[in-house]
Amino acid sequence: MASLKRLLLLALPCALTAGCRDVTTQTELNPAGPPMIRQVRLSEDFHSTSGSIIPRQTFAFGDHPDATEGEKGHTVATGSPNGGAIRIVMDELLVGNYLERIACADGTYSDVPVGATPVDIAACAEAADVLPKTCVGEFAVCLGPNGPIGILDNEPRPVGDGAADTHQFIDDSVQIICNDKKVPLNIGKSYWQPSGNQQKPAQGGLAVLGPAVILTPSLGLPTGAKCTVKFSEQVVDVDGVQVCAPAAGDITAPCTPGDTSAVSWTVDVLQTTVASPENNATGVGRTDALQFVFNAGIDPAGLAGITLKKGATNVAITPTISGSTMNIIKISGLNLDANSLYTLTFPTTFKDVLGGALPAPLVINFTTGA
Amino acid sequence: MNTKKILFAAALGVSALSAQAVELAPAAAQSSTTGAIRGIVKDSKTGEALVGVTVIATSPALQGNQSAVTDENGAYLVTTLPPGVYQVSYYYADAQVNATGVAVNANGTTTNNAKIDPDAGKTEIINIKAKATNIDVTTTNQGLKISKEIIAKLPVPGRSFEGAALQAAGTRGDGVGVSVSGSSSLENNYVVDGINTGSLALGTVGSPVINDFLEEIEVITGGYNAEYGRSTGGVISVVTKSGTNKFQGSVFAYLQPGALVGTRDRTPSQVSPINAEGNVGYNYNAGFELGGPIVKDKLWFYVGFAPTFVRTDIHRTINRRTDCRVVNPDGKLSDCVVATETSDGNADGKADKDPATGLFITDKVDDETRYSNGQAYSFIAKLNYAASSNQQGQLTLNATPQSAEGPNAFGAQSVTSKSTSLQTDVAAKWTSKFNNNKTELEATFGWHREESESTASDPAYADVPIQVLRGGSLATWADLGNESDAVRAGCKDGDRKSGDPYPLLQTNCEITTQAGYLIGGPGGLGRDLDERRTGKLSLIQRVKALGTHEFKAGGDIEINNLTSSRLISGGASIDNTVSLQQVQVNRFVQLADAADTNPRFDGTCYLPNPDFTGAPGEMKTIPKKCDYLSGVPGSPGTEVSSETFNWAAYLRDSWQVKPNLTINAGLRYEEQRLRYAKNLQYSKDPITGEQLGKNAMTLNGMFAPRVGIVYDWTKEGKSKVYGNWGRFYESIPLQINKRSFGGEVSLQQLFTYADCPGMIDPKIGGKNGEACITDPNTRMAQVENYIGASGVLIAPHVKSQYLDETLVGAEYEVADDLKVGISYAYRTLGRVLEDVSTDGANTYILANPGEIADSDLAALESRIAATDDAIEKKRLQTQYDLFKGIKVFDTPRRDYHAVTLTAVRKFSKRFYVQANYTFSQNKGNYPGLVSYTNGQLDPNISSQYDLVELLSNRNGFLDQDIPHNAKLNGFYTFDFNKAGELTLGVSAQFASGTPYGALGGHYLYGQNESFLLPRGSVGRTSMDYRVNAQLAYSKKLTKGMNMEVFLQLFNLFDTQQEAFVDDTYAIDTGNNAANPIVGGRYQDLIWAKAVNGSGGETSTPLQRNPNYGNTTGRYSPISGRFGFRLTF
Repeated sequence: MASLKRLLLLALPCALTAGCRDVTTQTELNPAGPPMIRQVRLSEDFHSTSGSIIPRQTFAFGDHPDATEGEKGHTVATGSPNGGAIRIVMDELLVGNYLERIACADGTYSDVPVGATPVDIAACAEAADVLPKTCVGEFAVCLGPNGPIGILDNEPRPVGDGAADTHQFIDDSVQIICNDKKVPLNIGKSYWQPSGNQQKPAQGGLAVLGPAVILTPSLGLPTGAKCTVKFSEQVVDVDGVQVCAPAAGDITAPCTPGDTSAVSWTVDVLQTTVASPENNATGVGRTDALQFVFNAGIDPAGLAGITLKKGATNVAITPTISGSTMNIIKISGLNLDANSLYTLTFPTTFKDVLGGALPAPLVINFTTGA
Repeated sequence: MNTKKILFAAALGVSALSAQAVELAPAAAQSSTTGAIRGIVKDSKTGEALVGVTVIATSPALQGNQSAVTDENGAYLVTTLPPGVYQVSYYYADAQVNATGVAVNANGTTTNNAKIDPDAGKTEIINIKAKATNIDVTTTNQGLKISKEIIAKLPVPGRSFEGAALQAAGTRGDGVGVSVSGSSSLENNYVVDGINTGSLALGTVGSPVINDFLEEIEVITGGYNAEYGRSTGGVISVVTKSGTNKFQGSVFAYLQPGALVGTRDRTPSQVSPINAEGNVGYNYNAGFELGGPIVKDKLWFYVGFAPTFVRTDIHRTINRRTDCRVVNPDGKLSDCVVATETSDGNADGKADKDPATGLFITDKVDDETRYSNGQAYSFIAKLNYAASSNQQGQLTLNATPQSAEGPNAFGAQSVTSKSTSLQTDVAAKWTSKFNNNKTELEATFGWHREESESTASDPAYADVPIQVLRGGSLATWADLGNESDAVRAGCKDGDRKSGDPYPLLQTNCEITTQAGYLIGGPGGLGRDLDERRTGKLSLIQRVKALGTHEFKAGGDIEINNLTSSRLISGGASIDNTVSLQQVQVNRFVQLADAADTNPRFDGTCYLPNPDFTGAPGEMKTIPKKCDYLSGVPGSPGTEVSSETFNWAAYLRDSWQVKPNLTINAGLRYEEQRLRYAKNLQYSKDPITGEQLGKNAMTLNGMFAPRVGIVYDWTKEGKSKVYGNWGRFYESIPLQINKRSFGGEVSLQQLFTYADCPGMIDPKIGGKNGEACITDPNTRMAQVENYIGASGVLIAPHVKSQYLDETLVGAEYEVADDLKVGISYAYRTLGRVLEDVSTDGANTYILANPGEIADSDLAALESRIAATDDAIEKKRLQTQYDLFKGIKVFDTPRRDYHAVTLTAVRKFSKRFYVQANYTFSQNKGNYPGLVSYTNGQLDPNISSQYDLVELLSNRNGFLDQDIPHNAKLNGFYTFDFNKAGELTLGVSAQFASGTPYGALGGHYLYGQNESFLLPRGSVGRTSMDYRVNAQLAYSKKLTKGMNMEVFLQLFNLFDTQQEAFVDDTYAIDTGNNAANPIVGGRYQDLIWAKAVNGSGGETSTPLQRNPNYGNTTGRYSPISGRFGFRLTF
């Protein structure tokens, strides 16, 4: 135990200089240790029972103190898998060079050597005659077999600014894995956002926490699937350490570089959000179209398995798919018998576009009117 | 009382009253306008202290004399001495010793010890040259005192005291004023003749008194005692000259024709064809000063008048990019061959760049010079009255009417404005001594007034909005700016037949979106009247108990009034990005309560609905009555009138435990009451629903203890080791009253061309942005952002901003007149008062960022629970939610550490030198009251803490971080006897460059608000090293008349080091804002993504400013100034 005198001596300059006050910043990131995933936030289209689609966001992993009650504590997404981006929020910066490429003048994309600065990129945005002189060295980009090609730099028109006009997300640098399968991404809508921290700005709120990898599935997520994220070994922080995910996004918890298995969420099973007719409905019009809105885009291959029976008798039907996300099944052109009980069945071979199947056959019984 | 002494004094014609015994000889007790002499008188044979020696100080600077009698320790103290050179006479028995050349500074105590042979005969008067020490052993003040003799012999840039103040250790110009000890210049206290003359709105220099009217300048950079307050920077105090018993004065002139100014190194722009450099056309200042007796030793006068005429020549060059060169395989540029590549030429449609510099190669199309003119008339008048040596007073009036009119170099002349101003100071002071000089009373009254007006140079444009055109060609806009035929022809785009030598180049004279071309009216206009009335009273009482004490108690009040305008010509400013077909309109609006029946609130402003959650059926905005403010001076809502009342009291004891050990302990208390604008007082805030009173914010509890210790180990006043700790509170200038307590709300609207009526204007190449100006009932904008729309709240128990300073040091007189010193200073901001917004700039809260007590939140919760009024409950709940967010903001920090070495050889034997070197570090996230990165001058309501997304990356090396800061000032006079004297003065400085980072725009706040990378992490500007010299020849013409001519050379070696770099990495043209990359490195900027005009994240790469990192400003080139001075 330190002597009282020593304690006083230690405390004195502190008291004299106001050096004892809490000066910790709440805006910095956490560059110590491996880069950790703090949150995975899903931007999704929630299909309400009224049939309307409500965009909403939820934490699939991790949490935030400013989250509303509706967002907190989610480990399973409750909305439709057909939504927008998935935001993987990091606790520190990653090296962007492993996540994105820059566009070159010839329409290709170029990796950017680690260590290159905006000045190096600008050096490869010069006129063709200047490029051989400026776009050289270890940090040169957009190099073709015959020398530098130059970056794509037309914006702001007409001169450009020395920065590439577009970037491209490096496929497979970060993946969404659902039921052990890679979910196809819309590369054009996936990107690395180095800005941001855990503070919630008034504009954008929790939807723009950062830094973050934003992944946009090209076809949504498979229904009923258990999903996680996987980072390529190449994706590292400035110290060369791989990404990991601590339990529940708690960055004080242990975290093994390369292990992101703690990130896990389950997507809702394939189900209808609107059914017309509903199960056990009566008085259904004999010629009314049957229409079912699902919470995911439907694989057309499963349409053939849909059956409509009156008793044991099959009724010929031709289901069609419509809707902006191909999630509406419509059966029209019917001329059913009056006052009869019909059974419409969607078998478990009925799947979404990513192979997520109905967990059990969906059976709709209805009785026609007069 | 010693009878012999009185008789002897009477025999010498010295007033008995003025030779009262001061039994005690305590330490520092000086006002900011007078000083003291202290010392110990000993028997020259025995070395014993002599008791009862009469000490009489006389000087041309002093009316009559001041005297004292040595106490039982042989010690004496003569006080209330105006700065000057004194003769100190010591009388004991029949002996008399006269010490001459004792220099006294204001707010200083000179030690002058003496030895007397008591047995010396009456007729034997010993005259000695004083050996007063160079060290003030009574105080821990750090800084520099510069007398009029030194000012006259050194090459001081400028004409007012700020230039001289930069000689002090640890000072540096910060673009606004003088930064002292790591603080921003707005934190200084500027004192003229004991009166606070800092400008009321901002705290800048309010009275630029010219050096020729000054007796002395004191720069206190730290360690000051309880008498001083309202500053977390330094105290720059000047004492003006006074009359004397002789008619004395001078006629002077400082002449700087443009021919004496060197050529400025170019800082070419990558974003505009227009380069503009300001050069001195002429700078002439001449005047006179005269002082003398009205009644000898009773009433003196001093007057001075000095007009200044300045013309700045803005040399404007229009450059056209070229497209006729290639880089040869050897890396060198080819000759210019304008044919296309297919015709064996070098034209390829891309502008040529020099691969060595990265800068565009340009042809000069035309150049011209536009002129900025200014006049100032400095005037001073002063009366000194001495009823007796113990009852003295002075009255000073100084005034400076000024006018200026400057050209617009980057567009039409209609944008030009002209300004007039009048600064006036009146200071009255009375000093009384009582009780055998044991008691002193000083009363001071001051009136500082600033009046200014800024109007359109061309009255026809007084009510026309200013418009910035971006993203286009100067060729298109030439008509609007009345550009020359050469510019029209040279910038014209077309084929070769039409005269365009570079037809493949799309735009020869492109003004990019990062630059702008100004047309329309002058934009911001002003009509302000600010006044401060000051009253100060101090009482000194010297007592004896366990040594000697000098108690000083005092207080002051300041009544600060501000009347300011909120005017933009035409009521709006327009940012028209032609290439994006997008117009942004900014304007002031005034909101009114729904019950307000004033017909001018006939418009509707749609404010963000604070309760909006996005649920179906909810309205995103709520309508409010409003009025778009006009740009016509005097029109309703454009004038804000407010007041701040300050008072302070202090008690300080200077306890001389032993003759060589002094402890200074003091406690100062300050209070500020900041009022609402007069039109808002006692009304209900139409926005927050708050019932307003008179005071918007009362800052009390400002206890500022100061404690210091000084020890002189030589016991002869030739050394001191000292330490000091003090707390210093900021005095909030009145800009906050105008903006935060004046109901300011601004509206920012973003339109596309499709939103605005009218046709494409061929002179613009797009729509005229004026077409987008709407009335308050027309909503066409794509985006509308209201700033301050939900008003200003005061956080509960908000506290004032303060700084703590710890200082230790030592000084030693290593040789006669030469002292060296070393000190360490640690200054840290303890708390900052700034406005924060926890709801995205709708509501501003004046708070201590990062600090709000849980008890305050709990109290608010209790109030919410206790009220049944639903409206009140909702209002309080909103406050609670807003206040809770204060905790999120980072605690402001500014930590300054400095080690300073000094050497001063005081002026004697024709030689003076003062050198200092400061090694320092200044880190933190808050530079102070100046926002250097975006140029904002809004003390305590800057944008630095407004938005949570902009807090990141602000921690780092602050702009005032100058690791190495060295200065050398000195002169030597060569005496050629009858041929005259030649004085060579040199002033040299060496300072590290300023750190810079990478800034981006914020979608709502505009340019340079976002620290894309950590503060100061990218680089520094070049080191600044400059040498100034002055060569003066003087000759005595007649007895009492001296003529001097001199040549001053500034930046002798024409170093022109880089002063500024373009640290704007990305310019927001509506969709190119960006949020900080927290802790990022330069290479991370490659991956930065743009934020759009609505604040939404995009995946679009951030566009960079091609001029980023380039030099944008250099220190002035070599220049010369002739001078002439005839003194009599």
